[in-house]
Amino acid sequence: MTEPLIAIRDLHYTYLPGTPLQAVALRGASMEVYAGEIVGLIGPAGAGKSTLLQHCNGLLRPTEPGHVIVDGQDLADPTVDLRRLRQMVGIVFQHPERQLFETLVGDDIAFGPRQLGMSRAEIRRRVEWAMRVVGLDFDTFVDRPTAALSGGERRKVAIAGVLALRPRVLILDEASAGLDPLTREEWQEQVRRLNADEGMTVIVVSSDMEEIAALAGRVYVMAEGRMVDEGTPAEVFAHTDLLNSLGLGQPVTSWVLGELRRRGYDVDPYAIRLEETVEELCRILRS
Amino acid sequence: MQDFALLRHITIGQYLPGDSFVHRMDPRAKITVVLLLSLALTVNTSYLANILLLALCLGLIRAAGISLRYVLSGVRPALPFIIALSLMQLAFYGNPSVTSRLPVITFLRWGPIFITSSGLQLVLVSLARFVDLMILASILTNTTPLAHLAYGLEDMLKPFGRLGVPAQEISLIFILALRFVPILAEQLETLAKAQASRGADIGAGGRWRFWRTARAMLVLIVPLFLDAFRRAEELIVAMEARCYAGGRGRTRLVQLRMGWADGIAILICALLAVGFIWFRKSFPF
Ligand SMILES: Nc1ncnc2c1ncn2[C@@H]1O[C@H](COP(=O)(O)OP(=O)(O)OP(=O)(O)O)[C@@H](O)[C@H]1O
Ligand SMILES: [Mg+2]
Repeated sequence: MTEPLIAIRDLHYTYLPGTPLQAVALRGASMEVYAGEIVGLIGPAGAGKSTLLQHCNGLLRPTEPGHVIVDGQDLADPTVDLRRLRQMVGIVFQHPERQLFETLVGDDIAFGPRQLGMSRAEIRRRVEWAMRVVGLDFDTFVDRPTAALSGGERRKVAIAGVLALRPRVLILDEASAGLDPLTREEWQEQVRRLNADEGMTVIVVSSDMEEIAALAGRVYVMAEGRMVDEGTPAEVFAHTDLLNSLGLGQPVTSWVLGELRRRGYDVDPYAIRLEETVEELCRILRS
Repeated sequence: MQDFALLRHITIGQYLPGDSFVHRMDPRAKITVVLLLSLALTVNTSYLANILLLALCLGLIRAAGISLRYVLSGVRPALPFIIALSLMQLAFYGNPSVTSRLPVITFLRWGPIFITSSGLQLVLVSLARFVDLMILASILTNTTPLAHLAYGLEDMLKPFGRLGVPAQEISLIFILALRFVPILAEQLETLAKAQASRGADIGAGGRWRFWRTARAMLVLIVPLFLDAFRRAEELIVAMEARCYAGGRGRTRLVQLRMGWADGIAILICALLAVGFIWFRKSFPF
């Protein structure tokens, strides 16, 4: 058995402890992510997903019981090299469009590589590559002011800015929310390619269950600061009662298969990838 | 390593629901009391008066049921600046006008450096004043919902309406400014986290890597202001969409009512404030 790349064990976290505004965000959350995986993380609003993920690159440090171990290093150790860690684990935050801080698109994307002290040629190569991955045309956008972009374009720039670091682990916190459906599909294809071709490990948070079903190899379900379910998307989405009680719903494929079974058709409830579902439907239509 | 949360942790302007006497006071009474006490604070430079006023402020915190630790935690981000200012004041400002019957002792005089006991008094009194003002502002905003504060302020400005003072507009501007503080703080936190995640120097290294952190923060000012302008524009559209047309003819959701308790509180504080101001030169030390 290989070691997980990121291991979170029994993590607790409270915001603003000891003040009237204190908010307990994590109550014993655990998660393991192995190199080369795409892991999905779902949960209702306020479940603690963003809080958990901000522990993965040391933006939040474990102060209460619990461990975060990234690539064999315990982040509770104050001597951890944060810059190295943050280059290894790249996070695209929720509302990425609010995270641009440079005036020009090109500068914003180049910020990370510049901090790493790379040569101009290398920086340019990375910016071009990152913009290609997110689907922004280099010549059109590189000298545009970030303030003059649409919401979706800002989103892409923010994602490109993180990609330009070429992190080993890419964390996407609701990064595709608000993209139009076609862009979204291209984006999913790009994530799959980053995972397959570049070997990037990916953690996806999304409220779009279709996206989770399409991307993730394994899914964690989070509620009230801890994990309540874990498994392949097919397994997790078969637990309708749990998902409904959390107000999460399921992908439409999963719903169709469940409904068909309930009405006495013999279909495989785990065939939740769109192509698989179509196969199942064709099969029962033929028979 | 709570750097990021600290950015966002602004105690002034944050309403903390509660049910103390201070919470139930009329906002107009609270504003009056705070103004009177602030006035008393700013004219008193003697040790004794400041000790008494500090005690009074602590008593008010008690009465409001807010934790002193919470209020003081709001001072922490400003601490480096306060310390720097105090040291400079202490070192170079040896001849301030403070009231004191104590003899003035010169501790050190060397070139531009001039340290005296009255300079020390000024530094200590300034510190006490700063804390007192923090406490008063916190009490006012921590115990009063923003809307009530706005109504109170508007009522108090209304008499000046005859002179052409747009009371409603002024109170609206004041309230919007207050309301923007936590929003900007949150945006600052977001930007700082985004920068740190992409290899900037924020939040890495120890507490005394102050300089590098300060430089990294400076870079955040421009995008922060751009964001503030964008939000302000959105706010204008949102207000127009809801048919905001200035203060004339607006009615209110909350009707404010002054009770006898409010009157007594104002009276007591007015007497105290006048006493402190009148006798400011008579304190023994
Ligand atoms: N900066 C903060 N200060 C104080 N409390 C916070 C802060 N950020 C989050 N919280 C609280 O912590 C809890 C978990 O928040 P978190 O953002 O991790 O949830 P989430 O699962 O990401 O939700 P969402 O799906 O809405 O993004 C919430 O109750 C929230 O109110
Ligand atoms: Mg979140």
